[in-house]
Amino acid sequence: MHWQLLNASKVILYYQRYREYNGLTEIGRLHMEKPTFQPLGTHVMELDTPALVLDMEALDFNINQMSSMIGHGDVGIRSHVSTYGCPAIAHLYADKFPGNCGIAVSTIGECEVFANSGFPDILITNQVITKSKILRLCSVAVNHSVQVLVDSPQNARDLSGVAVNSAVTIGCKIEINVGLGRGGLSDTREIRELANLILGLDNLELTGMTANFLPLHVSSISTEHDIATLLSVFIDTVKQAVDMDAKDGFLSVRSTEGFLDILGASEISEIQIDTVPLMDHKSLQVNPQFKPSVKVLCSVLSQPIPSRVVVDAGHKTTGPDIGLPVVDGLNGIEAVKFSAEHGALEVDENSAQVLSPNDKVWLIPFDLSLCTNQFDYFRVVRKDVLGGLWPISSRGLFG
Amino acid sequence: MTMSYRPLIGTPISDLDTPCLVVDMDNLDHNMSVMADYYQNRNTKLRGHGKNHKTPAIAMRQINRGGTVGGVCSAKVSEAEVMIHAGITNVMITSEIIAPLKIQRLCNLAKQAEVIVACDNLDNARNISMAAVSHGVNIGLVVELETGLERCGVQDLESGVELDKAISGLPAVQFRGIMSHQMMAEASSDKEDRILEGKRLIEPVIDLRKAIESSGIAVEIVSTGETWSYDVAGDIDGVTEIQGGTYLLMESAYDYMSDFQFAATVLTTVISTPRTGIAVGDAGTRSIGAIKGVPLVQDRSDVIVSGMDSDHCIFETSVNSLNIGDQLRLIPGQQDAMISRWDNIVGIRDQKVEIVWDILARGTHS
Repeated sequence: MHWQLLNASKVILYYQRYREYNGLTEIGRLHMEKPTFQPLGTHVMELDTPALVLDMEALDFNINQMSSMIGHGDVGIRSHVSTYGCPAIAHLYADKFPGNCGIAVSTIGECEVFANSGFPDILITNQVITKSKILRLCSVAVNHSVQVLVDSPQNARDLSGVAVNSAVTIGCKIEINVGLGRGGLSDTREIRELANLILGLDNLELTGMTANFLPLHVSSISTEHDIATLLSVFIDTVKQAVDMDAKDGFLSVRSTEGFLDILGASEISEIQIDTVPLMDHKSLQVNPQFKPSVKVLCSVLSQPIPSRVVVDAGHKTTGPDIGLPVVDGLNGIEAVKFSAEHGALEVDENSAQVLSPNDKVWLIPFDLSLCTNQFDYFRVVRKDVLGGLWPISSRGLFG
Repeated sequence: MTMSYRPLIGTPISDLDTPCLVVDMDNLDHNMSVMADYYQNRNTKLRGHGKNHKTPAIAMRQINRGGTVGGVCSAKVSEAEVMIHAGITNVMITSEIIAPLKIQRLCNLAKQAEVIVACDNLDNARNISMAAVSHGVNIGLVVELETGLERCGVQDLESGVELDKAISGLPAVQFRGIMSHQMMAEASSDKEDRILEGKRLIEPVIDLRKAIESSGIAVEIVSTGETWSYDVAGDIDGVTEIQGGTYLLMESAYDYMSDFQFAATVLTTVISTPRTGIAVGDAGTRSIGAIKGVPLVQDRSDVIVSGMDSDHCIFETSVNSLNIGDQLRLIPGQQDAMISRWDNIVGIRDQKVEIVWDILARGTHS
């Protein structure tokens, strides 16, 4: 049988098993990654590499940690799914997090996938500009609550026009610029005028103001600010622009590393959280009380000299655009250089670790979104055994 | 099932949903012709690297254009599987294949096509040999020599000669020659600089060839060089093929290679103009990558990318020259890092969609 056809049939088989395993009705893409599909029950160290592995015991621990931090759910929690793209994980969060109020996505393509996967309340953390995308937005809005970001009057008018024709209502959050070099408004007069415009337009609902506290991945200007300063800028800007009741669920912030500080800010009604509690290296540096639950399992290809080990995971699997992955559990071995398909690890001369070809190495991704962006599936592992293949259903839906 | 965006043939570029990976077909064909013309009448030939585009249709297009060995390189077994199943009959896998599971797959491929694989240690050669015997196939091995990349490969001539002798005594594997890959330490548009650097880096490869031949073993393949040294390695006596890949789609990091034109770009739309001189586009690091820094803006010298996050790029302009809805094309810093994030390529000619190619080997990580 043709190899691709064989794999396609296996994909469908495992996809069906996955659905049975999870009891979900997730409807995602079957766009095919090309690993060797291995049976459920395979030991984790026997997985074909490189593999994106989700450690369910670590995730369970992290979810419990986070749930206890969230407390009674006074602040709404909106998981930003573009970081992991997996409806099965988003459903776990929805079940577990106090204050869960929906999900956030980056693109209309992601919105469609997650709407079809049973998520009723979706915030698109972007402006939706073109006619074709506004039509797709309105199509989702027929059966779901959808919100988008707005920072221009013309965009608001365009949204209203299509929403009226489609007989749907679109929620609008005005994006506020807090000085990180992103989009959004900072002029209080412009904010007030846009808010009034949205309030007056048919089939639009002003659902609040939002600000993105995540630093840019790459920036030519310094954008380092502490969370307290960003909160102050955001709240003061909105207060100067519009009459705001802190209790009315009006202010939403996107932040990951600083989410604990934001939970304590009484004016904030909702947090869009990206990486926590799956975690990546940069999040673990700020929140070490969590465990890394997503890692890339790779294999040693060669040790050409004692101080260098080469593994079969490069930047096409680890996504080291803004930082190298970190070797987990091997003292004295450090990731130092990644090319497209290879990773070079440096072995300290005092390291007691001995690695041979085909030995396995765990890498913690530096940035989760850039790593999951490379894969189509999580290999879900519990007690060191493969328990499922969870599709990253919205991978590659950039628009 | 949700499908990736796939525009109709004939769609004007201005109507494309963004972000969208587009390829200028005129520039792609130009880049193919440069290589085909250069290698057409030489003994040295091109072995295009499939990892750069992961698209069998593009690989076949270059093979049909000429100047090649009639095959390609692949970085992984799974990538080779896609290329071979698409009809390519000669594939060199440029990574060591270690895991028993992958060696089994390698043997299955050898039943369908001519398969050659890089090797840098004897245990690996023995494992491939044993598997090949049990499958009743023959697999070609090329000894990888490390020439500055600090990755895999034997480290010196003695180790290389020793390994090739040992391989020559193993059943069901055939020593075919040598493979080595190099990067230019400092980019230079000056061909004299490239010649000097290319010769310096490739000299050990030729030395290894001579050392092996002195031991009485024939060296059929010396596969080395790449885009930056295509016209250097191609003229070095003893090199039989070069492994170019970047030349096809191109990237800003190779802008010094002026023989080739930027073919692949990400089309992005301005979604916000929040402040004077600032605009926000809908393509970010997830779709274009930032491995070698921010992308260049094609044909707009007045616009630079000053920042990126997962799904946005921040444009700076000296004046308010961008409006919401404007489209821009972004030239990636590293094109294979970009290609591996997409599901298809939209080929554009005369401002319209001419073809949509599936990137069939996307996600072939193993």
